Amino acid sequence: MPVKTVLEAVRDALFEEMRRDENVFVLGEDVGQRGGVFRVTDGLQKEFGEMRVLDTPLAESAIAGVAIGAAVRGMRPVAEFQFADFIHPAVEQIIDEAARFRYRSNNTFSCPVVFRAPYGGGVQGGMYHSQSVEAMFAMWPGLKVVTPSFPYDYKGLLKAAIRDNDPVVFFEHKKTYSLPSAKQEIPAGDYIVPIGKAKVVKEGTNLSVFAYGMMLHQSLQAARTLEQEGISVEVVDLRTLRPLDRETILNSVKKTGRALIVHEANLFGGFGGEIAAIIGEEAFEWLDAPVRRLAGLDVPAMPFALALEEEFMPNPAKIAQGMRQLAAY
Amino acid sequence: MATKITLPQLGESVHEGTIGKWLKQVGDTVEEYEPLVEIITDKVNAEVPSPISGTLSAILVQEGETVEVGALIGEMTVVGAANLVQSDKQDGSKNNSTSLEKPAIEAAFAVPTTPQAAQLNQQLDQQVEEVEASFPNGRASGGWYDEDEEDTFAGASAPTQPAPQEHKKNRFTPSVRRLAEEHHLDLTKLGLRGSGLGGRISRDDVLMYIEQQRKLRQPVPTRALPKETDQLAPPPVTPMHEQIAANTLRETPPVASPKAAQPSTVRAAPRITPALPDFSEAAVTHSGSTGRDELVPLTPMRRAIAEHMVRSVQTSPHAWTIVEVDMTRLVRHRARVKEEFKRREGLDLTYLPFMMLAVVEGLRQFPALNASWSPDGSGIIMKHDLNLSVAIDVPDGLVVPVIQKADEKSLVGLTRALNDLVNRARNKKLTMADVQGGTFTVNNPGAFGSVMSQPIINQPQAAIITMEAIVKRPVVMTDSEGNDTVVVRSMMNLCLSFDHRVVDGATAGRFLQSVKKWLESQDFGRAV
Repeated sequence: MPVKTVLEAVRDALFEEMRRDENVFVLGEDVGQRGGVFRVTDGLQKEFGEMRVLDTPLAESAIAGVAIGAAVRGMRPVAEFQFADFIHPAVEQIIDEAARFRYRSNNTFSCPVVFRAPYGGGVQGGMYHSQSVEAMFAMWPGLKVVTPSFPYDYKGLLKAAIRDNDPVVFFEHKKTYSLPSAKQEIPAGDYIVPIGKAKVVKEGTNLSVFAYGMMLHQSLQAARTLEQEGISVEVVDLRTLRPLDRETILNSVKKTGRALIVHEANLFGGFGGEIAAIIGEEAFEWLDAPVRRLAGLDVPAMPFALALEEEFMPNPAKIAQGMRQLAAY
Repeated sequence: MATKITLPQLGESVHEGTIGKWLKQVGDTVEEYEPLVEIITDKVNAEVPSPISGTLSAILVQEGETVEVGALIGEMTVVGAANLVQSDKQDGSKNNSTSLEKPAIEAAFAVPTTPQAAQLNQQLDQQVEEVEASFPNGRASGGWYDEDEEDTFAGASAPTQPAPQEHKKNRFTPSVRRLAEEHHLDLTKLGLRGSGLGGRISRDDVLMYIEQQRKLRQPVPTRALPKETDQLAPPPVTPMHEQIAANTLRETPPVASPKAAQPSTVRAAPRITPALPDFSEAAVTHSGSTGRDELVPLTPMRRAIAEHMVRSVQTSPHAWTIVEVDMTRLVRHRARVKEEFKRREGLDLTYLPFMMLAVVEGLRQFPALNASWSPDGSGIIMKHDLNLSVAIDVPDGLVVPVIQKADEKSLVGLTRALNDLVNRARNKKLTMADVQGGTFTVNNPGAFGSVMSQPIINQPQAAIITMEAIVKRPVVMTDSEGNDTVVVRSMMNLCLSFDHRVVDGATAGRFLQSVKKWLESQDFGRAV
């Protein structure tokens, strides 16, 4: 099996889905001629032409609106937002329109659109190229929110998202696009990873860590460090934030009795709060320590200066320390 | 600025220390790095240097008291900083802790431990509130933990968690309550001391207690040991190894009553350490005392030895084996060269360094014994350094310092290293570095006339060997023509205890044969 980066896995999924179904088309800023700023859509326009790989104006609300309209009429659009930071002008379209179509039309219409958005920091992108906005979308019923970590899941979940009959916000952590430690052998052909299933990527007995994206990779690294110290950490890759796989989360906590949630987005109102609440409600009698969260600092945005960016982001050392303290409780 | 002084981590398995002497008194001005207090642990005595230049503002643990590693033992104040921010609010209080350097998170979690500390915290909270009020969105926070804390477990800096206090003892988490209810346990009456923070009883402590009770109630049925095979198991653990380990563990009777052990708080591996009932009143008064018995309080060393020994026999299924060694050649050789050795090196030539050379050779051939069962049971840790621990008796107990990289030393080098360790052990001058990193232990009970002993493994090593007394015995020897003669030879027993999870009898036996062969037939002329 070929070894692929996250970026290549996403690109493979797009190629394969566009070949499979002529209703699938891609639109976004610079996705055509340029092949995307991250080169994710490189080569797509050459193979599928300008009618299926559309370069759009710099107007995110239009990208979302066009995609939603096409989806309602039976197409399978994959709309790219160049950076998740730029998605905000399109939020009205995504939440008020896409998320509600099925509900408000009493099941007459559905909206099978995929919104792709590279997110996350640690790349010196500064305030407008580093944000993690997943919690904002995960709170809306009607949207599915997918946040894979490994190439295998990126490809399988993007295919599942394109084939899904409802809108999916598909987040791609830009720092993992070509992260060497995230490379993986993945099957060349067609396969699907179902939306809504978390995965235990490392078994452990002393405490459970829940993460996704870059933080998942860093949590794994921290967990391996702790293994040397005799602390056995179970690492769960959430993969999908909504619908959330409660069963896998609860099973893991019931086994270890301790839970740590790690995400890069701000702590307050972040997705970790939802997981903590579910654990508190449904696994209370199995808890042997308070549920803990480790997240980005509650400051208005990711700073640009390297030292400040490092201060803002969780990292393997901070995560390892958090794990130790939780294990020692 | 008030700086907390905590009991430092003075070694990998040191959990507590006794305050020997405060070298400064409250109010004394102290320079940075100036010795502040003397700490006595079971392994070393150490002077704790002052972390800052300032004034010793509080002594919270008195001389002679024993506290856990990380416990708050005193506080210091920077005079300059206090003056700088002194304001009406402080009311001329003695401890002007007004610095804002202490993170708000810590302030929020800090538990008042003494009136002074409570006052400090109150002042700090006030300061933090003022600063927070000046931020429109409150203080930046990225989680619950304290980023300023480097590494509690390595003891790199003072832990910012509140010092272990008894306040957690009777607070139980939901999972602990549920387990207690299911097993009809009244946790407050068990006298358990937990392995969690501040002595908290964790879920695993309860599970372990339940398991111990179950074992004590049910006599374990005996079964034949599985036949020993000599497969040198490479890490990770092979199924056969696991099976043997499981079988032997099951057949190990409950070796020690839970009352015999001290709680241990090795926090780096919180789930491994058994938490056992303390020496309770019941244990002391229940022994049918005649009234003439006397309870001698434990020294830190006695306590540590007790804990290590109980833990070792509970941890490793000990298997035991002996070989006889004909030491006649070595005895004659030593007699021949010892005068010259003394003249040349200024040291007495004993048998122990010869023994060490033999052991080094044996371990080179059978590295499976220079290994350790990994704490989580996932594999066997092969040690690539060969550091020999050597048991040395000292007036109030026993210490086991280490000759690092013994495989790189000659007979003279080993003799010197040994001499140095013995001298420093008896003068209490060993440092932490001297007692860490051992991979295999050599013991010499022969020095006390013992001809056979059953040593307990020095955890987490895989084996321990003893050399017994050299005694003259009639021995049958066979000459090259097959004639048997009874002759008088200088004989010595070598006894080996090994962790049967890690190796099997055949490997242990071959290792002993290798050591025996070295001692019986080595060309000593070259070794000296």
